[in-house]
Amino acid sequence: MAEPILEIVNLRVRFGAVTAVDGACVPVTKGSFTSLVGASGSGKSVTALSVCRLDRQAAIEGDIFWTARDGNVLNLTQLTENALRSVRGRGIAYVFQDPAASLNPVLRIGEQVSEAFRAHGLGNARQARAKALELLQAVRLPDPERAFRAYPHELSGGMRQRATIAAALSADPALLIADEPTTALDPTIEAEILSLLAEFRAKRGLTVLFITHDLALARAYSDRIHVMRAGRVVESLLKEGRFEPANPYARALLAASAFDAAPKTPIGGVNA
Amino acid sequence: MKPRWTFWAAAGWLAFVALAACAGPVLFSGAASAMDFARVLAPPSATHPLGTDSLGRDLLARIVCGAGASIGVGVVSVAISMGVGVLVGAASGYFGGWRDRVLMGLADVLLCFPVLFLILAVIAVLGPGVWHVIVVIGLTSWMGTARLVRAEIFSLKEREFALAARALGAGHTRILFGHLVPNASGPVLVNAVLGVSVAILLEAGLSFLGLGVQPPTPSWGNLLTDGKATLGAAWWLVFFPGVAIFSTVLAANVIGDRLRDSLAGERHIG
Repeated sequence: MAEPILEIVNLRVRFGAVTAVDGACVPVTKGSFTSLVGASGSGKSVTALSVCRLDRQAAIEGDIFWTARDGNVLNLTQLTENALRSVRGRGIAYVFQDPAASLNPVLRIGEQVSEAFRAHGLGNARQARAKALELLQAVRLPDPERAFRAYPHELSGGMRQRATIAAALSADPALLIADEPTTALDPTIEAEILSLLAEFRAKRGLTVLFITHDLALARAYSDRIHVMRAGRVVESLLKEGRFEPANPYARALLAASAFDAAPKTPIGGVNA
Repeated sequence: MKPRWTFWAAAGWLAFVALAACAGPVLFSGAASAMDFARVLAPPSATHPLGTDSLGRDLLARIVCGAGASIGVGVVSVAISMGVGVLVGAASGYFGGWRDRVLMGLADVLLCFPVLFLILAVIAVLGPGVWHVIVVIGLTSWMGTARLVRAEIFSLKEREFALAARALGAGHTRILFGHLVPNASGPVLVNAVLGVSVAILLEAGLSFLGLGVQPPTPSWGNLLTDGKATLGAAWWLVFFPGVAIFSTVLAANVIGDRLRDSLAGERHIG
């Protein structure tokens, strides 16, 4: 049994009178590609944001155990804001749904990709630049030097999402939480982005927590899937069990997916 | 929409005035104070293109040297007011809560004072002088900018890139000044350009009242005062400094309006 890197236990998140997450338990093992699947309003995104307490309006209860690099286990729900800040980006990083919105329109890509590196004081300006260029290369942006100097509006949607992934990885986090990272992109680029995440997992030992509404898509990439409904995990599936859901809700979710498990070939000559 | 010729004319004029303000003290430092008693109150001529004053000093040289004081007061006081306004507005909008109420309450209190009388009161206590004028104008004109920046930050801080920066481990200072304030720079720039014209007018008004730049150092305001005494005999002593003030303020306003329009256009598209 692999060791856990993140363990969400009995998480309850409320916004005023509304309970968005109601006792969710989500274990994430080190080095895994874990998916959290559910329809809109099932609480999957709120669960993801609550890990690093990113929504200030949320009232969070329960435990979120995080295994830091040095092996210490921290309970993120008990951490002070300052202590949590050193986990954000450095231990746990996020990629959000809409890359057009999550990139700052007035800053150059290079500056944003090296942000976490500089924010965590990992090196000087030259090292930050080298790190950013290395990452822009690693996420396969066609011309890293040019992308480094570009503003977000100069890149296509797929390129922007590659840039946000590069930005998320600049402080070498152990866990990447990707909150519907491909929902705003078209299906061929979706496959490329997910393959990229799978590649980072394989090459750099990155743990991925993938949030999606698409159970069939999650099945194609994950080794463990947790299905959420109404703020709870209703079924957990393992790859060894071939991901055949028993829960009627999970089966309906699978039937609703438009994802075709057959591998997609990128449209010829078009570069994401 | 392409900038109209008025914009380029205004920009050209401001560039010319700024150049004159920089070069003036070097080129005309002697001429501005050289008295020629043979040509007292001489009308515009070939030797003195804009005429001379009651001490026979060349008016063109004095206007060019006065540009430095007027533009300098305008730019430096606006820099102070923008600095304070951006800081107060950014902190107010970003943190909200009691900090917002205290800072905006302070701005509201300051807005209740008629600025000119506040300035007069301060100068009556501290005495006249360029630096007093600069600091007082700067510290009494930041409220508009603060409100503007506060409103911008209020909406910007809810945008997803602010969340993304927080998720990367950026602290308040980094998010606020690295991400949010740069996004608010457009309206601040417009406000600054329009503010320069207000500050130039204020300085001219104060110097006219004898509370700003002190003679013999020329400024456009105190040139007007000098000319006032001999208005019946020498119209040029009031006319040309007046034209200098008028055209410079107008140019700053034209540029400010133009920037605001192009910014508004950008918002409609984006």
